[in-house]
Amino acid sequence: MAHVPLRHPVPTHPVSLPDPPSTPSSPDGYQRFSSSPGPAPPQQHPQPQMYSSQHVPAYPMTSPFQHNQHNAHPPPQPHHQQQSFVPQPSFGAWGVNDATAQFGMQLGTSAVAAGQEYVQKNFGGFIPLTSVKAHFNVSNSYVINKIKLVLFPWMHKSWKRRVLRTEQGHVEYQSPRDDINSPDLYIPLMAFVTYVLISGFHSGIHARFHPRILGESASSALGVIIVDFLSIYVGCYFCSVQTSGQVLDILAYSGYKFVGVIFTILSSYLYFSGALYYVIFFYFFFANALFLLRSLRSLVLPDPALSSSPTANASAYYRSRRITFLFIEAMCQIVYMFFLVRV
Amino acid sequence: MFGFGTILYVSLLLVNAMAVLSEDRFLARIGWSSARPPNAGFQTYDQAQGQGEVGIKTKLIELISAVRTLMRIPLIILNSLVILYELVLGG
Repeated sequence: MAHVPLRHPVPTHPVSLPDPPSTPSSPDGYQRFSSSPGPAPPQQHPQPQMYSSQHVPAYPMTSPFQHNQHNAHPPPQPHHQQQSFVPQPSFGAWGVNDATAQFGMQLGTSAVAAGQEYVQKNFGGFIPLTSVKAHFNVSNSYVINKIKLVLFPWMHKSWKRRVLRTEQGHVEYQSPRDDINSPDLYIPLMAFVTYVLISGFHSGIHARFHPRILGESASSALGVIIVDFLSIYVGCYFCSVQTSGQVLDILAYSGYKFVGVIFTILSSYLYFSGALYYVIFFYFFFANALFLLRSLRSLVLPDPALSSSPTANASAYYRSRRITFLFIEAMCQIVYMFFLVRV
Repeated sequence: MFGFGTILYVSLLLVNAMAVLSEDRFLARIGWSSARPPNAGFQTYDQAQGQGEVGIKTKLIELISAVRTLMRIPLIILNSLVILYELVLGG
């Protein structure tokens, strides 16, 4: 048997690959989509320079179309002249010289500042932004421990929120990162979104999914939160509890019930019998109620060391009323949770 | 369960009901008037409001009078809107 040494197959037909397009050393070789025509890269085009001297002073945000039009006319020419270009530094590479760039930046900065000021003036009072940010200042360990706290509240010993005194003598609570008892908005928000997704997943398992189910579920969950918030707010008004800076805290506490609801729904996938499912549901309801009772105690029965308002009276008349209100509020959670679990 | 429109209508009707209550013909008769009577019940008010404690009833009266004062004009607008909507698109 003759040994034919293996040879790499040689193409028999002449194949000539086209040369790759030569990269121009300056971006002027490509079409420039810059916002204003640039200064003189040394092209031998008197035309663009005339245009550029007209464009720059008036309005730096001209449309790029004008510029592209007269740049599309001499397409082959820039290729011949690459070697004579020197690439412009930074902004020059985009066809924008430094003065125009600075002007544009200043314009942008002032526009953003004006917009922020407008928003701040009109809508700043509604959503206290720093307070919202403080509520999202969470860490991983906080999230895990807080979920454990919501689900197993009897295991926790001290429920007081830690305070820190600022230089001005204000007393404010620590952020959730430092204090496990502080309410946050991250867990309620994530639990709300997870609840919407789980309701979609649930209907998908039962082969009745439709995209509008996500919207309906989100709307009904939002309705539950609004009803809960309103009932707490009106109850606080009747019991003369100061709720000035605590809107977000109330919203946060309303959102913690979703954690229990999610775990109830998940447990329903494990094919427990009906009785065990209701046991689990009631367990999570009681856990949520206990969590709320313990947490809202600081809201409704103010600590005398913290209170600076004259209506912070812990008289017997108020205490019993507030405790009753708190108890009723915790018991109403079962109605909300029952409505949410029927996903 | 209840649509958004239903909840809106119900709340509008309830606020209308609160606004329609007549101050002197009805509320004063049952002692729910917000204007404190100077002599009648002076002592009981004083005891209950000695240290700035306000009962639930007083708060409720305040709430009703505040709603009535504030919501007069917006209620006119809202009612007109709902009436127009029901006439044109109510079917």
